[in-house]
Amino acid sequence: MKKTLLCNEVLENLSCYVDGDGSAELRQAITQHMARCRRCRVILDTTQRTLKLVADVDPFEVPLAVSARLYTRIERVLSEDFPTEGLTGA
Amino acid sequence: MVGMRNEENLARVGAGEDDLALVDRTVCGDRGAFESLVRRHERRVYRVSLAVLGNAEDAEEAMQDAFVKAYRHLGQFRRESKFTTWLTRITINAALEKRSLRRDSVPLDEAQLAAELPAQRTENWHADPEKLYGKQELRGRVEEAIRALPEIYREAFVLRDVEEMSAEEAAESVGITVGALKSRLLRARLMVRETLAAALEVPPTLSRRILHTAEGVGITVAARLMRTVRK
Repeated sequence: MKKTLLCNEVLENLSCYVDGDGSAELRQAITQHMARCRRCRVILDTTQRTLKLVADVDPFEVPLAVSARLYTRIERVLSEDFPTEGLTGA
Repeated sequence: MVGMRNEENLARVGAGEDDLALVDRTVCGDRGAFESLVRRHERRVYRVSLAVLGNAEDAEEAMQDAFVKAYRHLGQFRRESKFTTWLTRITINAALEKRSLRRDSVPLDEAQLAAELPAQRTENWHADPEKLYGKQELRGRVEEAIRALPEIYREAFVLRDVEEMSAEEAAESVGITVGALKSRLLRARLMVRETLAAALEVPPTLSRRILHTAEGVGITVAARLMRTVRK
C-alpha cells in the first residue's frame, strides 16, 4: 500500500530526509511529495541552503584574548599539579 | 593492562597523534600533550559552552572550567566513547553548572515550543548570499540566528550542524535519546532557516504572486489572470 504524505508529515521528517536517514519507503514518499508540492520543495531547498551557509561562514571563532586567558589558566593548573590521579587505575 | 595500552598507542601514534595518544602522554606527565589537546579542542569547547549559555563571558568561564575538569579527570576517562564525546559532556555539565540548572527532567518548555513547526516563509532564496551581503555580515547574521534559538535547540544545532558530531554522539553528550535530539534539531534548523529567510528571500515577481494566489483559488482563475497579465 502506497502512502501519500501530507505537507506537515513531510515537514516532520524533513531533518531526517536532509541527513539521508529514514526508510527507503519514507524517503521515496517524500521525494514523490516534493515532485508535486512547490512549498515543500522550497522549504527543503532553503533548509539545505541554511546548513550549507552555516558550514561556509564557520560561526563563532574563539576571540584571541579569550584564548590567551585560557592558556594562562591552563598553565597555572599544569604548574600546580603533576600527573593526574588514577594513573594506575583504568 | 598498561603494557597493552602502550602497544596500541605505538601503532596509533604512527598515524599522527590522535586524542588518545595525547591523553596517555598527559597522564604520564607530559604537559605539552595536554596543551595540544586544549589547542585542538578549544573551539569546540567554546562553541558548546556558548550554545548552552548564550553569552561570551559565561562561555569563557565555562570553557576554562571544562578544560580544568577534563585535566583533573583524565585518568578516569574510560575510552568507552570517543574523547570528544567525553569532553563535550564535561563541557555541557560545566556550562549547566554555571547556569545552576539541573537536567534531571525534560523541561516543561519543550512541549510548548514543539507545538507547531516554524515554516512560514516559502520563497526561494537569492542564489549567492555572499554577493548580497559579504562573508563578514553573513556570518554575523548566522551567529545571530543561532543565538536567537531556545537553549535546547541551540545545543542540538551547534553540536550537529556547527560541530558536525553524529546524532548518536550529540545525543550522548547532551544525555538524551537520539529521537529527542533529532526532534530538537528539526525545530532548530527550521527556526534558523526562518530567521535567515527574512534576509535572503528573493521577493516574488508579480506573475508568481498571481500564481500563488491561484493555488488557493483554482487553476482556471489563475489561467485567466495570467492571460490578462500577458496582454
